[in-house]
Amino acid sequence: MLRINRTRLSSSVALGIAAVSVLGLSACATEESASGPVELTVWSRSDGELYLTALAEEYNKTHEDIQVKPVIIPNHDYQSKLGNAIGSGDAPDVAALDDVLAPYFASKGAFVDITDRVGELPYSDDLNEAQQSQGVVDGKTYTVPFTSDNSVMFYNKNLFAQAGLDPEKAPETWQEFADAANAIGKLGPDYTGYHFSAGCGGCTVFTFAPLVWAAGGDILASGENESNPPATFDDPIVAEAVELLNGMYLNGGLTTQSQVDDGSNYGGSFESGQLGIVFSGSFYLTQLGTTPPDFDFGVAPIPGKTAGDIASFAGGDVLGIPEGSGHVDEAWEFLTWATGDEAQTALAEQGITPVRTDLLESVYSSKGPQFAALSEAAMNGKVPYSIQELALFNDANGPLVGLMQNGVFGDDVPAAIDAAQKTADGIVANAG
Amino acid sequence: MSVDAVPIRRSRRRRSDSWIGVASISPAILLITVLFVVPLVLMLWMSLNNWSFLGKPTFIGLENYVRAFTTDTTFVNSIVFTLVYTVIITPILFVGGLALALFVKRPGKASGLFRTIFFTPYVVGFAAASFLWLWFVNDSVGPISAATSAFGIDLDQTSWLVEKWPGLVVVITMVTWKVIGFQMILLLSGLQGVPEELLEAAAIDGAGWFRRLFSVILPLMKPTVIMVLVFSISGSLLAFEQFFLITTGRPNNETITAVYWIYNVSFTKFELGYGAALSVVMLVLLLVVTAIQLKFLKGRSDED
Amino acid sequence: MKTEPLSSRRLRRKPFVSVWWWVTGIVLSSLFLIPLVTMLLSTFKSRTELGMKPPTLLPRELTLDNWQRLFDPSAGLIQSTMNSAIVSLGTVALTVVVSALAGYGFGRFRFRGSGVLFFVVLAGLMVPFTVLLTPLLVVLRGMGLSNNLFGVMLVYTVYQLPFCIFIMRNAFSGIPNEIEEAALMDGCTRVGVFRRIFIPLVIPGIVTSAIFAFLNSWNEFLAALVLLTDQEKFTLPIMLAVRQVGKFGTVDWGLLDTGIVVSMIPCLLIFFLLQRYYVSGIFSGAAK
Repeated sequence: MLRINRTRLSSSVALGIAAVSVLGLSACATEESASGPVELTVWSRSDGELYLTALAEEYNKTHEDIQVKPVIIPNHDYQSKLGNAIGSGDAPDVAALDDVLAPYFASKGAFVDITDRVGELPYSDDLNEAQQSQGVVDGKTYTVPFTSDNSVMFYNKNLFAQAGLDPEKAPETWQEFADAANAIGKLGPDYTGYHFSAGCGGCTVFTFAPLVWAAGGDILASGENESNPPATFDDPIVAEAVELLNGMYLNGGLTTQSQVDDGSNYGGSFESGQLGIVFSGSFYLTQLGTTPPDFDFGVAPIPGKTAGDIASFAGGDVLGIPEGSGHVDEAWEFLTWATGDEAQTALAEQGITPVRTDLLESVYSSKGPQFAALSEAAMNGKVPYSIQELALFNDANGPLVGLMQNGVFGDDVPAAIDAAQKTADGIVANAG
Repeated sequence: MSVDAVPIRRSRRRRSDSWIGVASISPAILLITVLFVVPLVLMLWMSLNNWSFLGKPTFIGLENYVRAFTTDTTFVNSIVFTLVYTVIITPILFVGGLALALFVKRPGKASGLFRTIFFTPYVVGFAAASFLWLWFVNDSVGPISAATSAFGIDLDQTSWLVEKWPGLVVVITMVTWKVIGFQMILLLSGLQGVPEELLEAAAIDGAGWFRRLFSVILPLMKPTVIMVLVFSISGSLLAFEQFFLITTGRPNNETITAVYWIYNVSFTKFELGYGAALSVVMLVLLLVVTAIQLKFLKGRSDED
Repeated sequence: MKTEPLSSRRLRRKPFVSVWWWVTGIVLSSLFLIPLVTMLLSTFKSRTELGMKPPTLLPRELTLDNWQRLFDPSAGLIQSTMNSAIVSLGTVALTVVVSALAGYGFGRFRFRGSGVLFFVVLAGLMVPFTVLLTPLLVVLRGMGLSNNLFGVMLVYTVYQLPFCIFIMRNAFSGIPNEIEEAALMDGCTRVGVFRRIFIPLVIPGIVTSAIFAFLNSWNEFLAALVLLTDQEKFTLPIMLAVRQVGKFGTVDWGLLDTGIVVSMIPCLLIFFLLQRYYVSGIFSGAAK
């Protein structure tokens, strides 16, 4: 039966009822599906366009009773579109969602509880753990991982050689990383050592957090108030990581180009062969695969302070069934398929890291050393769990971006840390 | 619109005909009621609630409004910044637009061509234009640095997107480039209504160019001037995309406008109720500013 | 002394002044055009070249890659362009009719509450739109018009009305009473006066309203995105945003430029077709 939990939904559309009574019109109920195949609408941000369209085609070929219809929403506005849609009752049947948003949406009752269904999956223990736990609120599961996108280091081997570094040996510690960037920065004004988009919160947390994690620090407190934990910009490791980048800025390894980049130039001049190091994800490997650059590049994990310590930001999408979906069973059917062997293998062929750890080795790492590095990152992935993730880290006007602007590109790291911590505490308190 | 300058005081029609007026505005009023007033009332209701994007709203009375003016210093700062921006951009657009209008007023094909060229940037959407300028001023891949370095000039552009005033200058340049052609068109149609004979008469009386502008042209096109200013000032007070995309608030959120902050509060922090309260504050502010303008500009010479 | 202005007026038509007029015009035009030309040139640059330091002024090698990617049939550009055209032209038609009527009402008649109503109309110009979209979606849903191009058209119309009614009110109120009275005396009906006498007189206002409504609805993004949920109903700005902005907000500069160029074309066409009404003496003649 298609049971829809309407109680929670109805409270969230109190506004809708008010409007309807004003207009004296009745809202349409969820339409009954006529005979014929069930049409399942699946929403994704534009990142997912290529693979979702391909997957939908594949799925539709083999499923006569359910037909998937993808809808692609521009990245920037995905959460406002999805939130508005769920709130007003125009929800899709399935939504792919940036995994950092899952705790907020799940905690607000946006998705159908799928705890039991996930538990019955034969591979339920093999799903990417960091991403899987994003969809769990109070012990209940609301989303499943769909695609993985882990941050790793991309480096230009030609520039490494030009700068007198060993092109076959990626930096294994913070110090080696900074030294390499500074050396490449000294090649000339047209060359940059390291670039990250410091004006974009999502980009920064994707690249900066792993440096902190790999060195044993954290950006969120663990153990207290699990869905809305305080940020820990005052962790000494965070300060050290900011100092590290600040040192690179002062020594020419990092430029103001990074300071003003709001993400629109994420890869910097890597593709034109003028950037030494950039931290990016599996999507970038795919992109570099379609238009191969005329230089050699390597992919390696993001290092910590001592060789062998690595970390990665576990980005990517999770899938949830929004409250209000008229086809919960069919939607689950699709979720099962999307996390199954066939779909995950098809994703791997497109270069997307599978969310199934049992498949990583056979369908992904086997594609080459660059993919193996991404697999390794996926096994070491971590992602901040907070209903305030956007406000704390992704917000271009939030504390993390402020810390970068004033700490990395400023001259007073402790003051920048204090300011960021204070703003973050305010955000956490407000949501409490 | 162009006739607004005809210097004849009209006595409006008798009251017994007023039903025709009411009837002819009714389609507009109906549409505006359903799709503006009703949503606005709902927004007012939202502003009295702790309304997360999703989940259950709780009624909190005026708490959101109190917060806006007490703990949320960013909002107050953003209003101040928005006012500063408006005060700077409005005269630039108005004087510039008027100058362009006077420039392209003379008949002929060339005037038409220049008119089209000046207007062209206006057809680019605001977001697209902002992205475009973000790219222009980029100090490593943008065309400005390409052009300057091609001439051997080593222009230091690093501060342009980092510091407050240079960032504001970039935005103002972009907005001027994009919008001024539209103001030109509006003012031009106002100018067309100023009878040539009056200008000649004034010239014969020995009135200089400035004198003619201020004592003949501008007073005669007053309704157009009022409209352009109301439109321009409201638009500037609601500025958003140009800062959201170009300065992104740098440095330290000092270049955040009020609507930018409303967007941030509503869709990054998901505090829709609070965002609604801030929107209501902005609406009130704009209504007050407009009322003052209408009163101030209309003076006694015009009815209602 | 008295002859001085006359001679200066004659001077204005002399070549010397004309030269300065031309010089000014050309300099100003370059300022307006340089950004657009740079953009146009960039549509022929490859992705790699657009990321190059220092940047190139002219394309190093011409490529149509951006154009091909934009017009890739699977990109859905044709469908979304059609949607945009329907919504924009519909908005223009509705806006022009409704605002002309309202302008007539506000400009030619005085009735109780007209001042207040006009202020309510203007208020539509003054509300931050982003938050209002949420209740607007709820209202449209109640009317059964969410995820509907006609619904979007209605919304667009409502938010063009403040400005367009302002223009039309000014236009109508500027028409001298004598014209109307004379026509009525000649046996014209009021509808006849409106159609045959007034409308030709307010053409410049109608043209401005039409251009304004078209440009705004053609380029509008956020409301369309919130109000529409089917991929097939998406308008051009939504499809362009999907294509142009990738992971982490990475901008595909080549596609961005190409998209801007493509979306500018119909706007310029409309302006080009309509702008002659601004300066045609149609109304100065009639108003005399």
